[in-house]
Amino acid sequence: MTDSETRGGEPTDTALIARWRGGDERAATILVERHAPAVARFVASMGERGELEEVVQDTFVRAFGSLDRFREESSLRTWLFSIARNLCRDRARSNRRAQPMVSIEEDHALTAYDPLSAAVATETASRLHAAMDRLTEMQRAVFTLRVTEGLSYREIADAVETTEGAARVHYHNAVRSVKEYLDD
Amino acid sequence: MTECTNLEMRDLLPDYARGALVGAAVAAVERHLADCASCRAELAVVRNAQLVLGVTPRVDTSRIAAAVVRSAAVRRDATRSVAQARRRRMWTAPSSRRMWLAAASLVAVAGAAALATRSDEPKAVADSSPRITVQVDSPASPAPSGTAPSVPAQPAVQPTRNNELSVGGGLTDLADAQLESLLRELDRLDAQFEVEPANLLPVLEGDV
Repeated sequence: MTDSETRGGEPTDTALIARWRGGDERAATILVERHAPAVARFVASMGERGELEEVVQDTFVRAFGSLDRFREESSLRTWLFSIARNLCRDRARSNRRAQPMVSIEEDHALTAYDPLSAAVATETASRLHAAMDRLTEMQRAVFTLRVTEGLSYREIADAVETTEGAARVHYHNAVRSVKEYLDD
Repeated sequence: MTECTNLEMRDLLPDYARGALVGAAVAAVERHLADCASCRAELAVVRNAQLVLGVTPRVDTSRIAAAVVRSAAVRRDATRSVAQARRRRMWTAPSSRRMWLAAASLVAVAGAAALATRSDEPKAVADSSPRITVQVDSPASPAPSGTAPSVPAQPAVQPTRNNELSVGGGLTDLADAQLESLLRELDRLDAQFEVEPANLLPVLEGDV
C-alpha cells in the first residue's frame, strides 16, 4: 500500500473505495465505521430522532449504490452529508403530508440516544435545542456542519449545494438567531 | 451588546473551540477575545452547541455495513439480469428482425447474382440464345407485284440476355420510392412490437 493510500496508518477513503469496487466487502465495513458516527450526529441535529438509524443506513446504502457517480471532487464524508440531508428533507416533507408536526419534548431529545450527563442536560441545553428548531433547514445544516463537524465553508457549500459565500452568510445568520434566542 | 464586525475572527471561533487552530491563529483569536465581549458570547454559544449537538447517537455500524453489502449484491444480480434480458432481446427485437430481413435480402441478391454469373458462361449462352429470324428486303430481289411492301422486320423478342434471373423483391431492384416505402413499413412493425425489457424492470434503473 502506498503513502497516498494511507493516512496515519489507516487506509484512505479513496483506497477503501477502490478496494470496495474490487469486491472487498470489508472495505465497506471500515468506511461505515469511520463515517457513521458523524452522519448520525448530523442526522440527529437535523431533527430526525425516531428513525435515525434507518436514515443513516439509507444514506450509506444510497452512497454505495451510486459510488460510480462519486467523482471525489469533495470528500466522501461531505458527500454522505449531502445524501443524508436530502433524505432528511424528503422525510420531513412526507411527514408533513402524512401527519401534523408533533413537538418533541426537549428532555427526550437530549436523552434519546446517548444521555448527556446531568450537568450538561441543563436549561441551557434545552434552550439551545429550541433555538435550533427555530432555524431554517438550511441554517441548521450549515450551523451543524460548521460548529459540530468543523467543515470549511467550501465543504459545507458542497454538502448543502450552495456557494461558499452563501454558506458563510447562512452560518452567521444562524449564530445570530441562536444568540438572540438564548439572550431573551 | 453590539455584534462584532470582524467576520474573519468570528469565522475562526468554531475551530478555536474545537482546538483545531495552532500557533499564531490561536494567539490572534485570544487577543481578539480579550477585547471583544460579543465574540466571547458567541464563543459560549458555539461551545454549548458543540457540547449538545456533538453527542453521537448510537448506531449499529455492523448492521449498516451488512445492509450495504446486501444491497450491493441485489444490485449486482439485477444488473446481470438486465444484461441477460438485453442479450435475449438482441435476437428477438424488431430492430433485429429488420437486420435479419436485410441480411436475408442480401443473401437472396447474392445468390441470384451467382446464378446469373453461371448462366453467362459461353456454352449456355450459345445454346439458349433466342433465334431471331429477320427477313430483309433486298433491292436485288424486288417484291413480287401485288404483294404488300415489306416492312423492316422487328425482332419478335427483344434480344435480352437470356435466362437472366429477375430478382424481383431483391433490394437492388427497388426504386428509391419503393425502398422508402419498405423502410416505413419496417418502422411501423417496430412500433407495433417494440417492448423494452428495461421497461419491465424499472426498479433496476435510477434507483438512487
